[in-house]
Formats: sequence, C-alpha cells, structure tokens
Amino acid sequence: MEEIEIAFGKVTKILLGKELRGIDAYAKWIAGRLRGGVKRKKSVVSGNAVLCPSVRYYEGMGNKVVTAQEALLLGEKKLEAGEVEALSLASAKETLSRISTSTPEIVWGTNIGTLECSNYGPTQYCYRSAFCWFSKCVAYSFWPRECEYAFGCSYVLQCSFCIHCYNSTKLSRCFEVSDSTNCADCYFCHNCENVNESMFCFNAKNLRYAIGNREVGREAYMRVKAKVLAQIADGLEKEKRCEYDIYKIGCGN
Amino acid sequence: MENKNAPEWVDKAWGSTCRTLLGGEVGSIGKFEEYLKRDVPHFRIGKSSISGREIVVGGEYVEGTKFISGDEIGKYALAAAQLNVNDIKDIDSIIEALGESVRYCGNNLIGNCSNATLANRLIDSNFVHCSYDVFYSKYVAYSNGVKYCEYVFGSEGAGKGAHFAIKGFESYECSRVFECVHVYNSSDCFYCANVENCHDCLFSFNLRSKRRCIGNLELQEGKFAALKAKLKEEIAGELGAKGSVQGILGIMGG
Repeated sequence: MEEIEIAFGKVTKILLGKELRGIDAYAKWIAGRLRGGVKRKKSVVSGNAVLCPSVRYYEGMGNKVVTAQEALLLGEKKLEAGEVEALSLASAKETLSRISTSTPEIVWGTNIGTLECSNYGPTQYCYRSAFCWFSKCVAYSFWPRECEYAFGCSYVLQCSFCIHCYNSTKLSRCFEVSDSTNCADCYFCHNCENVNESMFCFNAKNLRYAIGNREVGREAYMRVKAKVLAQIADGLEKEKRCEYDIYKIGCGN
Repeated sequence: MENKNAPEWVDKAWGSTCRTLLGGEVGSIGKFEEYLKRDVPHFRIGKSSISGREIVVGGEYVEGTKFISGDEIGKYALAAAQLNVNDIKDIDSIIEALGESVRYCGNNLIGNCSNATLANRLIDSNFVHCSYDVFYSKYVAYSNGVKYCEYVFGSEGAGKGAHFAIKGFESYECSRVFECVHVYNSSDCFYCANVENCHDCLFSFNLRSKRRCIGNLELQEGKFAALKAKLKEEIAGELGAKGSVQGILGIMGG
C-alpha cells in the first residue's frame, strides 16, 4: 500500500505540481467516471469474498461465483452419463445447477504488491482495479493494459503518469483526456492525436503549447498552465475533488 | 436506433459464422439483433451538430453534450479565436471563452478503417457494424472491446485472437465459441464458463486442459460427436425459430 501511496504522490506532483497523499480519501473523485469497478460478492460455495469486475457478464451470473481455488475443485464435478444423454437446452439450467459456477478471480503471471484487484496479471502495486494487464502502480482503474502510474483511468493502453484518462493509447503525463493517442502533458483534451503541452483541445492533431486548439507559444502557455494547475490542486486539497472533468467541458454544466 | 437493415457484408459474415459454429445458416441477421445486443453494453446514439446525422458516441457524456462525426473534423473549428491568453484568470474563463463551440467526436475511426457502420473508436479495423472499441479486427457486429479478432458477434471483451464467436464474453486466443464466458486458449466451446486450454466442450464449467466434455464429463469420440450434433441442432433450431436462444448467463441462473 505504501508503494501505491508513493505512486499517487508522484503522479499528482508531476501533473498538478503538488504532491497529494492519502489516496483513499480521493477515491470518490478518482473512481467517479469509471465504466466499471470492482465489487465484492460472496462465493456461493463458501461465502468467502470474491472480487468481481462490474461488467454485465459477471453481474449476470447472479450468485454463481466462487473463488479461483474453489473453481478448480468444482471443475472436478461432472454430470452422470445419463444426465448428459438427456441434456437439452430446456433442461440445461436445472441439470447443470450443481456445476454451473465460474470465477472472476483470474490471476496471471507474477504479481507483486497488487491489492483488491480482479482479473489481472502480471502486475506490480495495482490497487482496486479490474482487468489490469501488464501494468504497475495503477489504482481505481478499469482495463488498463501496459500502463504505469495511472489513476482513475479506463480502457487505456500504454499510458503512463495519467489521471482520469479514458479510451486512449500512448498518453504520458495527461489529466482528464479522452479518446486520444500519442499525446503528452495534456489537460482536458478530447480526440487529440500527437498533441503535446496543451489544454482544452478538441478534435485536434499535431499541436504544441495550445489552448483551445490555438497555439499560444511556450511562455504564454506556461503562464496559463500554472494558474490552471494551482486551481485544480487547491480544489483537490480542500475538497478532495475537482469540479471540472473532460466530459463536462462546454456542455453548459 | 433500430437497425434492421444491416449492410450486406454483415449478413454474409453472420451466415459464415453460423455455418462454422452451428453447421448451417439460421436466417438474416436482422432477426437476431435483439439477441445479439442482449448482455452487451450498448452504445449511445448522438446527433452530429454539423450534419444532423445520427452517430455512435462513447463515454460518459452528460445531457446537452454536442457531437460531430469523425469524418467532419475538417469542418470543425473551436472558438479559440476569442480566447485572449492575457485575459485568462482561471479554468472558468477558458471554458467561457470556448463557449458552446466544444464538440465531442463520435463515429471516430483511427488508422486504416473501412466498411464501418454505426461504429465508434475503431483502430485499423474493417467490416464493423454497431460496435465500439474495436482494434485491429474485421467482421465484427454488436460487440465492444474487441482486439485482433475476426467474425465476432454479440460479444464483449473479445481479447487477442478470437475467431468465430457468437456471444463470447472475455474470450482470448480461441476459435468457434458460442455463449461462453472466460474462455482462454480454447476451441469449439458452447455454453462454457471459466475454461482454459479446452477443446470440444459443451455446457462445461471450471475446466483446464480438457477435450470432448459435456457437463464436465469426458466422453468417447463417437458418443461425444453424436451428442454434440444433437445439441447443436437444437441450438440452431431454436435460434432460427425464435431469433433468440437461452444464454449462458440464463443457464447459470442470473
């Protein structure tokens, strides 16, 4: 857990210029926009806790979930030959009821310091996330793959040092960015490609030091960036949340 | 938005998939649309503020959000001309300057994509219909979260290398799957959950490295083939007649 706290501190320092600690205090804000999270269910066999990603196909199983170890033992249970011969679609639910369980606890490869995650591997220091593959220092995220230092992100691939990034690939040091690829040091951007050191850009390509899709030059950009970051960091420190998010910009809310 | 008139290629690909999985075609895909969409989070339809066209949008957009289509980006200009950097005091002043010119993108196709209808967030994918988050894949319909796959219908989380899947949830490196959840490195699986490295398995659960199983019971080749043919015929018959069939989640009791 200490490593996750350190990682959160590092990312907030890099992105916002202020190191924030106590990640769980920010949980509501960090996980606020996730498409799915991790839920606790009870094993139908033992009552033990089963961490389950919030996706329809696991939720649709109702209570028929078990832990990973239990699942392997239950795999030994089988129907009788007579039951198999009589099996039909109409009778399947009833006939299969004593073997039809599954587990969302899928763990691959070597995992170090990963806590309260579901469906993951290989990982290091991942926390309260689902479908974490080949990632490290990720928390409150959903389906990060080959990511590091990502917080409150979903459907991200090869992203690092990001907070609240969604449906994106190859982002570095980004905050509130969605549907983008190959971007770095961006804040509040949507559908951007090869955009660097920019903020509030939408449907744009190949920009640097841009605000609202207009390149303003390094000096002016840095001046505005300092004000924006200070405002976000202050809000987070005082209220543990940031009222601005990429899905709300420009919709009158 | 209903879509009873899917493009011709969707019907052809659906026919190929049914022949491969069920041994024969069961009808035009329009009849199965509701079934294929069942248990798969559906996309949202928005309207392009430029052309008025209906487009597929993804993301947690709030009421009042305005969209454009990915092929209209050339016509789009953010109202940044009104933005004087010296006047920026805080985030609110930037948002105010951008005014109502902010548009989010739907029907977004990245890289080399073709034959995409009602699709969003595609990367290098072809022949995709009513789907989103499809990367490096072809012949995909009514699905999301699909990577490196072919002939995938009504599926979610079809990971690397799933081929010929109908209602495959979280399938990875597998071929010919029907109504399955968590099927890894497997082939010819019907109504299975949590199976890895398994082949020719029906109505089986929590198996590793098994072959020719029905209800987790391993069977002789001849016996298995006869029962499999009977069950496949029943599935195809019901699907063809009703346009829908009992799903794996229904069988598991959800």
